[in-house]
Amino acid sequence: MQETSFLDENRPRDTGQYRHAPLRGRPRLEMPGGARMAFWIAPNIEHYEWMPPVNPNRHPNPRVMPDVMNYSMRDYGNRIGFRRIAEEMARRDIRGSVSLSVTVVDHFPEIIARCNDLGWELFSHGIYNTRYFYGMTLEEQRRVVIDSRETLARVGQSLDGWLTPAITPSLETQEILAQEGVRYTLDYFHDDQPMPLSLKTGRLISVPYSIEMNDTPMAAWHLMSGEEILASLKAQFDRMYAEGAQNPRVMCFAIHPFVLGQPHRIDLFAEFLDYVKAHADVWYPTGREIAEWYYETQYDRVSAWLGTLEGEA
Amino acid sequence: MSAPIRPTGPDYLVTPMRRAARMDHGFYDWRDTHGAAHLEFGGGVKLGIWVQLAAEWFPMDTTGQPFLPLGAPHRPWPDSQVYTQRDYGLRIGIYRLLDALAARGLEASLFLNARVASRYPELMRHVLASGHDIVAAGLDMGAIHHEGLSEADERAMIAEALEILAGYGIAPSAWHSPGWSQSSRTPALLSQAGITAMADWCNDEVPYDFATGQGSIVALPNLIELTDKEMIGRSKARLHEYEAAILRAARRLLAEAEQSGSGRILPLHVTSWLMGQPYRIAGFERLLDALAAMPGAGFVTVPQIRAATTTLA
Repeated sequence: MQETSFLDENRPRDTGQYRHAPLRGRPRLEMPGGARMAFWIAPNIEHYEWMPPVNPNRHPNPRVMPDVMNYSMRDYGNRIGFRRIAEEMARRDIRGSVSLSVTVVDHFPEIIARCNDLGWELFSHGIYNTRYFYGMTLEEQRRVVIDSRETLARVGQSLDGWLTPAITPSLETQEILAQEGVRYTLDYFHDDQPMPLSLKTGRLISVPYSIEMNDTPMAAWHLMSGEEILASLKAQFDRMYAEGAQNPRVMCFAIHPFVLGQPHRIDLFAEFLDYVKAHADVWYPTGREIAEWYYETQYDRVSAWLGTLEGEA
Repeated sequence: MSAPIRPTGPDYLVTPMRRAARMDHGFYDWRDTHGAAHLEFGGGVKLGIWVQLAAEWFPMDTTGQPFLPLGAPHRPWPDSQVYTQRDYGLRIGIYRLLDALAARGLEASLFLNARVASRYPELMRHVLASGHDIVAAGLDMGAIHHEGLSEADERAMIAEALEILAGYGIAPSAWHSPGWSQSSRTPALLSQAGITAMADWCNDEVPYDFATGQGSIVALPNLIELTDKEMIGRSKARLHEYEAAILRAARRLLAEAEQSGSGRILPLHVTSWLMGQPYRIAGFERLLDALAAMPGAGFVTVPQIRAATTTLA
């Protein structure tokens, strides 16, 4: 078990952790208040280390080490960008569900205090966003999950959600999360709705995060201007809102204070939040609340339906 | 097929874990920039527009060690296409930028590679006559400061750059490193060479005290995302998108300055081979006019920024 994921000949051809569950024919999700969409925001509050150890599968600083430019750009997010983002969200009464490098609890307690004051959820995004899961042993992965639980407990939060640092999980990562009591994972991008995962032990659901509605891929990979980011967000929202009349959707906007907290982008974020808030029948939960609602009211129903499907499980 | 995963080795989670420390280096402490007043420009100025005019020479034999900075020759030898296009900036483009500033009676900081000065004395005559503030920007764009240099070699690079400028009677107080790259020793070596401020770290919007290990140096605020290099050169923004982004940033920063009572700085970093092109220069001119027309905005250079700084702590 321990070394399985390192061996090429043992590579499976799919994750084996969810069955194909097509949109057509699904039971309709029933959201609180009859909402047609759950809209949630996941601020990634991360720390990228000054001189991290080099993971042989992904270099933390491909340009040069140390990388003053990239380190300081990211540090900007914690010093300045976070304040801007928190202020715009609080002004509109939208809480965040924080994808947290849990060491931020140690380095920047002011940020954690502010999140707690605002009623935000904290979930784990690993220890640092420069300690990737690629190539870690399963025992090391488990240590990070346990560390996350203990660290969040120190600031009064339970570890319910998970996003692997830089999205570098092995297949076994999801098993470990379920075994350690994590309630939902954001590592999988296969659906617009929460979905039960089929694991060897324990229960876990995927909740829709987004690698598309995510300021960093938008700005850094797709080189979108601020105007294009705003237009894409509105288009995504409009379509999912319309579709949500048939079967409610979950829309996540994943953000990074060092990207969206820049002075040339922050007002576009505020404009998008105003746009969303101008719509009726939108539910504004945290990730934890999505998971609670789903387990309590939808999980058994959807699982029963999944059991009726033909094809590979 | 994706690459096989290599194990990280037994020390991956135990090698330097500096979570007990405030920052994971000794250069500066945490600071909440938005919480207190730091800048008072006087004269009704709330937003200091800091024009940074980059005069860069990219040697044709730039090695790419340890990385190729944005704009460097990178095609098969001899990359005369890139070399001469960058050189255009020092023959033609820079005069458009200088004229745009002169026509409006505005002062800028020239981010000057020392080898531009040593190679082009005629240009230097015109630059010195213009009276702009001069920031020492290393030797040239191939002379990257990085950890792989010996301390003696890096010290010699700084000394040579300052000696070339001294030959023109210039004794800059401020420094900018080519490619926004520093080694962990650069701040200390700059301090020892008599430099008292640097504009390489982009983690703040007001100046702060930076402990080099060899005395303090002032970290001047800089926002790399707002540079023409990053926005137009790397992210492929169209000119109108670049102009819109700068103006959005200016409006936001000005509003925050008025709200908080502390001044803000908008760095406007323009590069002679990018913004000095005939089809782009009107965009720069429009920006200067629009910024100059904003009530509460004023143009500043390094001496004014330092004089306006009420606290570095």
